Amino acid sequence: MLYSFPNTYLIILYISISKALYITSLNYIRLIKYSFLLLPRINLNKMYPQRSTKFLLQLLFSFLFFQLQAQEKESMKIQFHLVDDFKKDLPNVSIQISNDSINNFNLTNEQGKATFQLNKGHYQVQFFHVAYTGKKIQLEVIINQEIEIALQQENNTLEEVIITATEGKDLSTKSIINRKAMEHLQPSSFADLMELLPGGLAKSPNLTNPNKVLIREFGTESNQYNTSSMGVQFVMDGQILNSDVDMLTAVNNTQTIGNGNIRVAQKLENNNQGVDMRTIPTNDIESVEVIRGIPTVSYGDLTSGLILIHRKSGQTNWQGRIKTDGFSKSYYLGKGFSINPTWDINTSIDYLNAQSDPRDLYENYHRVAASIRSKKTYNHGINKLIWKSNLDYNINLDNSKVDPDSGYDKTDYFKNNRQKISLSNNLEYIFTDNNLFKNIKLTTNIRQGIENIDQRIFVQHNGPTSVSITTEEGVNDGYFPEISFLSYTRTEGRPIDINTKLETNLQFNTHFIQHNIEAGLDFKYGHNYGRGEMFDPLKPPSTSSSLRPRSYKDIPANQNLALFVGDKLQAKINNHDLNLYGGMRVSKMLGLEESYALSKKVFVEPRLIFQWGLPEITIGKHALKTDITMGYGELFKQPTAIMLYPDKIYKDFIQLSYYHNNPDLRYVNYMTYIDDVTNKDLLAAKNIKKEIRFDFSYAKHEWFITYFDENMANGFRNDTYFLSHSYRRYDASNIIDPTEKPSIDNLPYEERTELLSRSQHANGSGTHKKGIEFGYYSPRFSTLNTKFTLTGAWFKVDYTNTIPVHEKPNRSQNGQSIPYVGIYKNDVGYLQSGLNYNFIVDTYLPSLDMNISTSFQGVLFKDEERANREAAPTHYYGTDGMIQPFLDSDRNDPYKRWLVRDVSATDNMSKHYNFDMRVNLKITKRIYREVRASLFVDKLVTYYSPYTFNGNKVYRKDQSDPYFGMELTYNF
Amino acid sequence: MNKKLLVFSFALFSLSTTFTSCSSDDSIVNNQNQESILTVNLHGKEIKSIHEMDIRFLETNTGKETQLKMQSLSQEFKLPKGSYKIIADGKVILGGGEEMQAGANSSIDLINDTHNISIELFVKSFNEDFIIEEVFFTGVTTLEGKAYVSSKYFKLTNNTDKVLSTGGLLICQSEFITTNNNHVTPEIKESDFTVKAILMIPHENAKNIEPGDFIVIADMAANHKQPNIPAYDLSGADYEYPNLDNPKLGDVDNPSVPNAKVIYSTLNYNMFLMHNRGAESYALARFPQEITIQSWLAGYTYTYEYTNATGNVTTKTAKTIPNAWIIDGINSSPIEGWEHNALGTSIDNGWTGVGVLSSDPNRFGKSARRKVIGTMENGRNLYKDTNNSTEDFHRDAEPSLKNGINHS
Repeated sequence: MLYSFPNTYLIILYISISKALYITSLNYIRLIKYSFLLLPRINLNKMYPQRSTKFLLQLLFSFLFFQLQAQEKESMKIQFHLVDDFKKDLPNVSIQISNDSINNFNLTNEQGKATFQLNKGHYQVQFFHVAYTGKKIQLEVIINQEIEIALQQENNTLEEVIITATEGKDLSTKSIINRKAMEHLQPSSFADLMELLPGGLAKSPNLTNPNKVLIREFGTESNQYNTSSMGVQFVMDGQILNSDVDMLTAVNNTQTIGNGNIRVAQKLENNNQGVDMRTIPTNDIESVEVIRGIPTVSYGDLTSGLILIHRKSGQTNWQGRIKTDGFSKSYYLGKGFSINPTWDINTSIDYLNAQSDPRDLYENYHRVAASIRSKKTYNHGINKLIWKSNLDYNINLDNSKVDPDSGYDKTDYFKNNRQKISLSNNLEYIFTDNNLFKNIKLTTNIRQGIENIDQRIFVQHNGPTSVSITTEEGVNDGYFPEISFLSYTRTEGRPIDINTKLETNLQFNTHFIQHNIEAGLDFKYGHNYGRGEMFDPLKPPSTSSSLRPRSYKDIPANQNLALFVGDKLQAKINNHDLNLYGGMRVSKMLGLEESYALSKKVFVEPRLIFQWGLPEITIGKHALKTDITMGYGELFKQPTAIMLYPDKIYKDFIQLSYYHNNPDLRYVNYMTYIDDVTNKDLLAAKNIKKEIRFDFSYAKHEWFITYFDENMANGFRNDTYFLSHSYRRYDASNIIDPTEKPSIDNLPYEERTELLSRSQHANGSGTHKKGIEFGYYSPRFSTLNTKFTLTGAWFKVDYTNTIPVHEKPNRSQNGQSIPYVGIYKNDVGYLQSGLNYNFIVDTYLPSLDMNISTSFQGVLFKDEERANREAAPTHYYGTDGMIQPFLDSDRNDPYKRWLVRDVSATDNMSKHYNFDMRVNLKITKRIYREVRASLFVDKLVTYYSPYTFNGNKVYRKDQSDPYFGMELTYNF
Repeated sequence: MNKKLLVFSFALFSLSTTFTSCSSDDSIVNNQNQESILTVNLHGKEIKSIHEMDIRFLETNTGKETQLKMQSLSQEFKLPKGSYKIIADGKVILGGGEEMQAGANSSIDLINDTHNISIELFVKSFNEDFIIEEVFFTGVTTLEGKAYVSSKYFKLTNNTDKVLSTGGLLICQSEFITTNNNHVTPEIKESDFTVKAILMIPHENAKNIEPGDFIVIADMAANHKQPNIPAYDLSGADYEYPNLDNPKLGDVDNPSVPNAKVIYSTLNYNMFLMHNRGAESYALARFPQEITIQSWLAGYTYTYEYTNATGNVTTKTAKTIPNAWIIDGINSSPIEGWEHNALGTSIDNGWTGVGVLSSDPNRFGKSARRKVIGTMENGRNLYKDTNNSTEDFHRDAEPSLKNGINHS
């Protein structure tokens, strides 16, 4: 009763206000009506489909006008109910209804319904929706009625919800991943998309480590075979994401953090292994093309693959996404604005926060990506100029510190802060008349990295220690640093990458052949202006004393100029579709000193692809369409700046250590050698790709099968050999009761020679990939609403050294390290072959607007073998550097016997893994209007069949637990 | 233990005195006071009872010697009055049940009718050479919580009754770790010890060590104690093995302390690094006369292999020291994680070590120390050595050099 009075009061108030408003609005509407009638009739057919503010206003006005009119005349009620193929209500369909006297608009509501009051008569009705094919009907209004109209989705790709990658049918073998597939996959970063490639398997995200890309291979634990991932180029809206001058290296890359003694700096080092995929968010991506095969000559400085990322452009609602799983949380907000029909601006911000372990708050990764993208179209007569301008900002922050409550080394931290600001301006002039030139395109991108690694290390020397801090070769006096101190280091990288590409496409016919020519010029420039690795030499961040600061500024810029021309010839002869693409790319590194072999070398990359579309063969009710595509391509990846200009290596030998009990008498003397490990003979890595692909389609069933052979014999490798270093070891034991520091001039000494390793970049890693990729895509069977997809790949990948390896036994005898180095034919190589499969059953339930997919994926079999490693070396050398053959008699020499490596009976035995399976479940559902919820559980069920090796039956189980997460997306 | 023994000895003592007083009553009747009744009470650190003991009484005036046997620690003897030297020699049972040689010397003038004498027994050593008294392999943690790797040491003691030379002593580290048993084939530990590294005390830097005295072989003979590092002052060590050869280590060399030589290591640059959890075995050895470093390097190799759970075979070649050359050895392991001993049972039938957990955060600043079994005649400690380090060593002991090196 207490509340009844105010409630009643409120109701009365509400009614009176409403009444007043109603009367006011009636007058207002009347006013609008008359002013509106004065406006010229709008030709709505030509109206730009996107809803600008003006458009909305007009829509509102015309709606009001209609309402008013309806009140004044007797009329029929016509209700339209718009649905799609699956009988799902379609909101936001604009309906235009017109005849000679009226022209009305309405939008369907959430139930897909829109109502009109119409006089009896004949009308034309048009239905329009951005994602559906429009419809036009004639309507005779006689009585009140409800009309159901079904609209079909715009094109084949949208005809049904595709939640897997699709296989491109162009000349270049590629996987296409669209927005829907990404939404269903619920990725945290680009790395998660790789599951969708043939042979790809779902992996639990690992966001606190760099994620390198693997295409058509299994990968190895060795870091000697990274050229494959380094040779995958990422291009986002024309901007190349790879950088050859990014050389950020922690001063102390052996820093360990926490009780697990994780070498954080080392594991986060990402030099020479390509783009770190975790840094690329996926929310803004409209589609991705992963070119596994041979790209056209327009793209270069890559060996293994090309990933083209296309981001959203054009007007969109506000879109929000919140994702959470066991390791990360991510948030996204984006919107596309249409300023006017020729100018769109898209903007977005994306944030991700990940931990290595949900319980570990001290090792984490943050990613912020913000972008503003503008697309402006200028009409120039009938031709168009499209100007796309993108401004991107990206921060990637890795933090590691120790839990102050439970950990040791409370002072230590490691911060890896990588920021990139990038500005792209892409101008494309499109000739729409039958000009010879189809377009001219200028792509420019400048990207500035602001990258810092900061380390704070409480350095605890092993005991009393001496160091040399000289930066010049020769004899020098060292220092006894403090045993414990705080060391601060900073590595400052300021890489700037400028990429420009000018290209044009031409089209003309000769006889029955159509030529499509692409030609252009590509220039890449990269320079690092960072101050590099910095620390106080007397307080080095490591107990190993051979560190010296290094500046990146002094490293010359990397410049790569390329010219390319290619022609795609198309002809149709008697129902045979023939396409032949031939292209050539010529590139050269510029600005190198003449002593570099690269400075004189011009790289020529021919690429040839032939596609033959066979005539359709009718079998039963449908036609079988077959395409055969064959390709050959040569591709080069140039070495990075850090490979061409490696840091000098300092080698400090103690000649006299005199750590007297009296601190005033202490003295240490060093001989320092500086090794310049530059390999001036380093060349670009070359990959030769050959492939043949068959595409079949029959009654909406699609198949493809690709055989490929890719051989890269001269991938980059850290090649190690050994050099003798001589120094003196002074003997101060005869000094009795000294009164001053000893001087080496008067002391007896012994000459010592030590063979020390020297590691330089060389073209010595072979990666030979062969395989068969296959896929089958069924249509969505209407009875089950279910679609089946089977993709997979058999890969045979050999990772081997292509130059002999030098190894020195790890052993000391009689007071000296073994003074011999063996030369061996084989290093540990990895010969792998196996078949991965991924079978996806996805069901779309239109009544619930829900997608459920289950993927059954795993390894059908896998064989792993090491390169045949022989125990004994073929040759050896001692401190004199003379190479001699290794004889059987050397096996009995007390020193040379250790050159025979330990090779066991199983080291060269192949291992055969049997079948395994992981079942992943993913669900996406619209839960309320524009809110979609998704859920995934990876490894819901796993099975690993036992395998037998060397007579042992090995039972396996997956180490990782099921991994799950969920997300919400909003459109508002 | 000591308290128990004390109570026990006291009980025995009181028992025997009661008994003596009874017999005294009897003797009044029989003796003509020419003889004296001497109650001999033997005692000694850790000695529980007598197994067999000869006792000789030498009358210094007449030169007459009386040889008798003792059955218990306290016994009564009827002897003519006079001046006697008493020599006891025999076997005793220690608190831990071990049987040891023991002896004692004393003298007494028998002038009254009854006398009591308490004689301290000294356990006689049975070692022929040095023993490992202590291994400090864990290092310490600094006040900041960081591991301080240096100030590790071996402490070797002359547990014999003769002067020994340190020249040619070999300190051997096991190839195999005790917390992982790969079940290698062939298994040779009952005849040979597979080594990872050997430190040798060069003959030219030999020292003579008195019975009961010890030597310290430190990684660096320096004062490791710092305001933030609770490590020890090892500047008075007898030998050190700093690594000057590895350009990255930057160890320092004390000119007043001779260096031990790494004659073998499976690491480059002559590195000899102790396992900081102590999951390995150490042996003390000497080459026989005819063996030199070079001749040992020429032979004594051992190729072994093992298969892991997934069927992978590992083959390795290593160096060995025959067990016959070993003069002492200990197996060491944290309690959790012990899988096997790297030394044969004839060298060490047990295992000692530091720490409970396999990577025990509390292990730092603790060592494995041999138990003291008694006192030598020169007053120095005599250490227990039953070739079973479980019995012979204290786990998690306080390092003996915590307050520096003190030979007194």
